[in-house]
Amino acid sequence: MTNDQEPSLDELIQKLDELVIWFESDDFQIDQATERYQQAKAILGEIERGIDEIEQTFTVVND
Amino acid sequence: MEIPKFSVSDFLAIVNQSLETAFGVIDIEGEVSSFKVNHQKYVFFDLKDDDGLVGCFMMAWQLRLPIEDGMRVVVRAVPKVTQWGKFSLTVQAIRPVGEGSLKKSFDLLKEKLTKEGVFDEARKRTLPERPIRAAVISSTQAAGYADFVKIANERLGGTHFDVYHTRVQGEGAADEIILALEKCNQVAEPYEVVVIIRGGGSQEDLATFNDEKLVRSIAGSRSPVLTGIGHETDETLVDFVADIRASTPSNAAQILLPDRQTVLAEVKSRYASIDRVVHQAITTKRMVARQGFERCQTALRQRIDAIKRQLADRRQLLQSFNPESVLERGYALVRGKVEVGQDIEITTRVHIIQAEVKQYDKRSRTIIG
Repeated sequence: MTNDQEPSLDELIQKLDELVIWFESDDFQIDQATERYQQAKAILGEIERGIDEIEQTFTVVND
Repeated sequence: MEIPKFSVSDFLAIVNQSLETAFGVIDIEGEVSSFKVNHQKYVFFDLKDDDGLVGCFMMAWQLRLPIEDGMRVVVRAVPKVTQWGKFSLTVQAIRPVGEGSLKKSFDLLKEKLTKEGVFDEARKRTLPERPIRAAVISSTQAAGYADFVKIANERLGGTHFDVYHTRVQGEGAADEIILALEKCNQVAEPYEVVVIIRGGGSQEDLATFNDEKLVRSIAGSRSPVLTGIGHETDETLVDFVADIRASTPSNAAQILLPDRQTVLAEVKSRYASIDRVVHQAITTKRMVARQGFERCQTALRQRIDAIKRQLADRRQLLQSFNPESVLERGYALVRGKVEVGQDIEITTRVHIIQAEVKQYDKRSRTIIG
């Protein structure tokens, strides 16, 4: 499902969750909000692409 | 013609040889009667129809389903004459036939396994939310497998399936599935789930999934088992023992894998909370800034008002010092030297009077206050 360079769908969702937590926490600062917002938007785009494109694989192990 | 003469044992051997040549292994259908198990090892029963009866023998471990008198069955057997001269069938396999017998056998085994706790809910395990690695046991040539694959590909991707192809009906199918399940449980890295599926069929077609040995094999599986057997209304014993039961192979794929759009909607709702937080933060900041500005405005206005009042006071004070305001109150301003015969100028509110001093007296001053 993943190669060494591209994060997996789970990893992307986790990154998005971390950003959401930052936005909802007391650490939120409006000065950093723009950059992190753009990061979240980019991650969401990757997740959407991943959900659309990723497929199952079937291997018959015997005949 | 010479009539052949044999010893008893030779004769029995020739008879058995003839039977083997003539029949080999055969299937015989009939009704069970006088069923008994001796020493928990040896099974004896008669197989009969309206016009005949034949004795049967088998080992107890060969019984894959409960059998009792009155059930209609098909036995796969080898006919032979015992050394005591008794004709019987040595049974290799037995299976109930007909809806009634199949149902009876099903009910008997279900009751037995229920009493043993094989179907207890406490034994059931949950499935992973999004499996990465799973096994499928099914016939890759069957419609049920095709349905599963079709639905699986419509759901969220990223799962790898190892497929173990087996027969899913007929004699020997249960053993193939058991063997596949054993292989699944022997892999170094356990599967997160094993899926056993087959499409719809008759009760006889689905009988494989009521096999006691298969049921027990599933109960002992290291990985959780998800079954999807037959149509929605079909019920087999493997469904009862499975950790999770789906109604059909398609439903198994739906249970196992999340819907793509549902996952996407959940992710988007997480992202939407960022929008709300940012919007709220901006609104709050804007409100704080506006409040600060309004306080500035108020303070400034107050200062200006105070200054205006101060200016008004000073203007009033200055005005009071203005000689014209004294004249307005009816006083007069006299200019000149106060000596008899001197000219003086008298300014009133209305006139400027030129006058001469005729006489003057010093007055005594009274200080009020």
